[in-house]
Amino acid sequence: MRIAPEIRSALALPNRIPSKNPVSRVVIFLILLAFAVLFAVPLYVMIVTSLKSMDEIRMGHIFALPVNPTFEAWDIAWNKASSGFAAHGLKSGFWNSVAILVPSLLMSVAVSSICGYALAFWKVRFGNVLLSLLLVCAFIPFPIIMYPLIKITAALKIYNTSFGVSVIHTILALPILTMIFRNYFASIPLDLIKAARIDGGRFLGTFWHIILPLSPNILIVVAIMQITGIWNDFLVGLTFGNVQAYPMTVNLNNITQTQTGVRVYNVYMAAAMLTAIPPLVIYFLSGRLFIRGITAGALKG
Amino acid sequence: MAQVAVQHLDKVYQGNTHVLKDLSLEVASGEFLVLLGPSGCGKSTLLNCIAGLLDVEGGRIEIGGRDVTNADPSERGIAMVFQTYALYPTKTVYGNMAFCLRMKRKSREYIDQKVRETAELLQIGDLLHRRPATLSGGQRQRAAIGRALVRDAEVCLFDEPLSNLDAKLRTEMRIEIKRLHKRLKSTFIYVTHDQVEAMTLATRIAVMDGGKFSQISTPEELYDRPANTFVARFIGSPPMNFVEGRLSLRSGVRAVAADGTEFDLSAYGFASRPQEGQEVVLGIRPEHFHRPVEAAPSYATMLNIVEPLGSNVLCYCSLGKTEVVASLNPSDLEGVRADEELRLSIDLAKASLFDRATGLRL
Repeated sequence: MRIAPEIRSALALPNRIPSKNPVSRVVIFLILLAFAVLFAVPLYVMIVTSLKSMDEIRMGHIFALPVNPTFEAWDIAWNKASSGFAAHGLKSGFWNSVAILVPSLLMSVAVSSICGYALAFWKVRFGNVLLSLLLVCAFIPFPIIMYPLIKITAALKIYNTSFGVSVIHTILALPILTMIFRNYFASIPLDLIKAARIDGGRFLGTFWHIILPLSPNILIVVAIMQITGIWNDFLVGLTFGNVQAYPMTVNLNNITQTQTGVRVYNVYMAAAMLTAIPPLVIYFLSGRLFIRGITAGALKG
Repeated sequence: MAQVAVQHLDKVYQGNTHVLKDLSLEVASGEFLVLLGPSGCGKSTLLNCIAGLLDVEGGRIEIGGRDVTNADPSERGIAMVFQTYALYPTKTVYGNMAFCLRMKRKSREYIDQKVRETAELLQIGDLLHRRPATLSGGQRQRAAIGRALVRDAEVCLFDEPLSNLDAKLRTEMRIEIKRLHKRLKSTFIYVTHDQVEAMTLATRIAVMDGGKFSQISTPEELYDRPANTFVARFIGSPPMNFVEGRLSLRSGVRAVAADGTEFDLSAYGFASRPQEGQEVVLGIRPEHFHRPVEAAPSYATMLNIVEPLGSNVLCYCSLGKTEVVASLNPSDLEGVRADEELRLSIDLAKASLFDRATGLRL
């Protein structure tokens, strides 16, 4: 929880927790270090393994640095690795994932932000009932509604297409995103909407000119949630896509699961790294914005 | 220029709270009408209904002779200034003022000219590029008024616009608003709970109590001849003094308090014929107490507390068994000390008399 400086001084809270005792500082440092290592070691093993040749891997020294570092495995993983259907590597899966991600991101943010805006500010008949329903829907596990969704998308002739996968991602994200937007918008003073109505702002005009400019923080949070969530998805892509439209995660799974003969660990590791890079890049680019965004609703002004 | 007419207006919140009860009100073109009342009396609700921000459950609203009961707020020819200013935080002052004109798809040149004109009028020309967050309270208030005025609305609505300002700024802005009204000659409807604002600004005041109008009249009339005890109590600071008693018609008209003090009401203008023994409340403004001049009837009071205010002195005294406050000239009090007797005469021709049961003026 963040506390505003003026409240801090009013409550006479110290600005920082004083750590006078050097022993406690060392202990805190060691604990943090242990957790950092715990998370970093698998990553380290993946990177060094992907840079080794198979002969070197067979020696079994998984923590050793590569003797002759080579990006050959990365090249194979990206361009040539066989997924059981075709040997085009991961790159087709990458572009499939992009083709799934972009429409579903745009559709889910557009629809849920407008729904949240309507629920927060406009008199919607049975609005509160709708809100409760959304809350319930947000917690229905995907496998329960998977089969009906397959029938529906099949009837709409979008089953087995990447657009179909995008539509399913949009639908699944709507309840939780609508609630996130609605709760964020609820913190915007009602007088602003009243003023906009008198100024002649209609439903969408007010949304576009007044509400959206106030909402970059929440848009960033939602975008990060959606990008990582959709990129990392496996089940929706597997069930609603097809061979030509499988996302990168399914592609990766096929490459690592369907190989016969030699298990090319360096290629697997490189492929896994390649798949994980986009969400990592998003986090590194927008981590600070993300933190600012998730606390934005808690602070005023 | 437009008149506003409200006819038999009913507003019910969530099916059970009856906020406005059969209200009717005529505001003439160019008038400055103040809706005055304690919090929760429905004055802001009425303003929001006139603005079209709230739907009404019954009745009719006309602006400039046009029925706007179900019209959209932007189509009513109104402008509104909010208590919280409600400036768009992401827009500059210029952007705030230009927004409504942009929504009306006016030309860029027209918008620019209009915004600069209005900004000059309000002396905020040098603030046009600033965001609301960087402005002081008074500057924000000016920007909010500018945003309302820029569209040349025929009716301007103000919802307690000055209550977020400190006392000094409030006085300045009050004069500013009065000057604007004089210059623009549009119809102003202004909500406040501050009687000083109401008295100084209004051409007419509508006092509201519990969703109804208690009295609608000019500030002078409201002060000198309040229609009921609610208005009498609400208007005036320090408030009017009340003495309960009975009417006696034996020798002229007199009000007799429970402790036997008699007030001669022969100079009072009765609206209806006084009746023997009628239970009444006599209201006396603090400034209608004087030091007695020779031969005038006077009352013996006990001076309890003295509050010197410079121009006048507030004296809290016991008149019989009633506590009253009298506003006297400082020179009147020479030689008088607290806890001593103070003789006072009362200008009973200017007093107000109410029926004790109904609270209505007699």
